[in-house]
Amino acid sequence: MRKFSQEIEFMGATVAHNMHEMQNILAIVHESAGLVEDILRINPDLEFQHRPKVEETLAHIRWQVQRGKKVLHATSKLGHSIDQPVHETCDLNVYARIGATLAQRMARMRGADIVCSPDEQPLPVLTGALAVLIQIYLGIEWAVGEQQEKRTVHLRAEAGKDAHKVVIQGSAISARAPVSAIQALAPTTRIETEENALVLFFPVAQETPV
Amino acid sequence: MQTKNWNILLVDDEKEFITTLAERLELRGITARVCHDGKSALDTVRKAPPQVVVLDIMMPGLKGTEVLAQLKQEFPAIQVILLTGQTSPAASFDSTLAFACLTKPLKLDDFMRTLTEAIEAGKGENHA
Repeated sequence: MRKFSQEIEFMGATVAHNMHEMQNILAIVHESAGLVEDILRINPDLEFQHRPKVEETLAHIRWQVQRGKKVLHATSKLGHSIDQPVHETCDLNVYARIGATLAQRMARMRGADIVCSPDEQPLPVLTGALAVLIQIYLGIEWAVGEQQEKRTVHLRAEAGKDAHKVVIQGSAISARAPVSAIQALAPTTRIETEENALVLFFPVAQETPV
Repeated sequence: MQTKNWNILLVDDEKEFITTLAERLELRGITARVCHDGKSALDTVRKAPPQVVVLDIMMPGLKGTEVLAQLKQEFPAIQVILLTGQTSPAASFDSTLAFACLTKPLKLDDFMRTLTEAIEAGKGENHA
C-alpha cells in the first residue's frame, strides 16, 4: 500500500512539475510570436511577398497556444488531484470540465466530440478529485463507444440538494455502462443509467474546496 | 510611438520569456530592466527602486513569494505584479501584498492595462 502511495505521489508530482515546464515553453512561444506580430503591426506599410502567410501562421500559433494552455491546465489538475486538501473533496463543476478536456483526445481518436456544459456555480462534493476524474473519464469512454462515425457526447454538471450530479449523454450506445468499475472508485457515488446516458450523483460537501 | 518614463523591473528565471517581454515593452516605449533570479532582483531594487516589479512566483533559489514579502517590507510603495502559471498549486502566500496576479502565457493587452494601473497606484504612495 505504501509503495503504491509513493508511486502515485511520484506520478502526481512529476506530472505537475513537467506541466509547469511545458507552460514556460508555451509562454516563450507565445511571447516570441507576439514580438513578430508587434513588429508587423508597427510596420503596416512594410510589404513583402509572404506577409499574409506569416500573419496567418502567427494566428495559428496563437490559437494552438490557447489549446495547449487548456490541455496543460487539465493535466496539471490531474497531477495535483492527489494533493491535500483536495484529496477528500473537490469542486465537481471544475473537475467535470477537466475530465472532459482530459478525455478529448481519446474521444477524437474514436470520431467523437465532447461538449461540456458546466454549472454556473461551484459544486463542492465529498469525493476526491482523482476519483471524480476517473469516474467521469470512464463514463465518457462508455458514451464514446467504439464506433467510428462522427458523433457528440454531452457532459453537464448540475447542482442538487443532497447530491450534485454529472450527466454523460451519448447516442446509440450498445455496451453496458461500467457501473461497478465507477462504483469501485468511490462507493459514495450513486449511479443511475438512462437510455444512452449515465448519471453520477456525488454527495454534497458544505464548503467549496480550495 | 510615445516613450513612457516608467521604471519597471521584470524578474523571471526563464530568460527567453522575460527578455522577449522586455522587447515587446520597448516597442511600446517602455524600457524595463531584467533580472533572472530573486537575489539579483532584490540587489537591483536596493540600488535603484523601480515603480513596478513584475515577478514570477516559481523560480529556483529565492522564490518569488519570498522576494515579494521582502520587497514589501523594505519598499512598501513598490507595486508588485505576480506572474503565476495556471498549473501552479494553490497559492500559499499572502497575495494581498501583490498589486495583481497574472497567469502565463500573458495576454499582453491585460498585462499593459495592469501595468498602467500599477504605475498609477504607485504614484499615490511615497517611495521608501
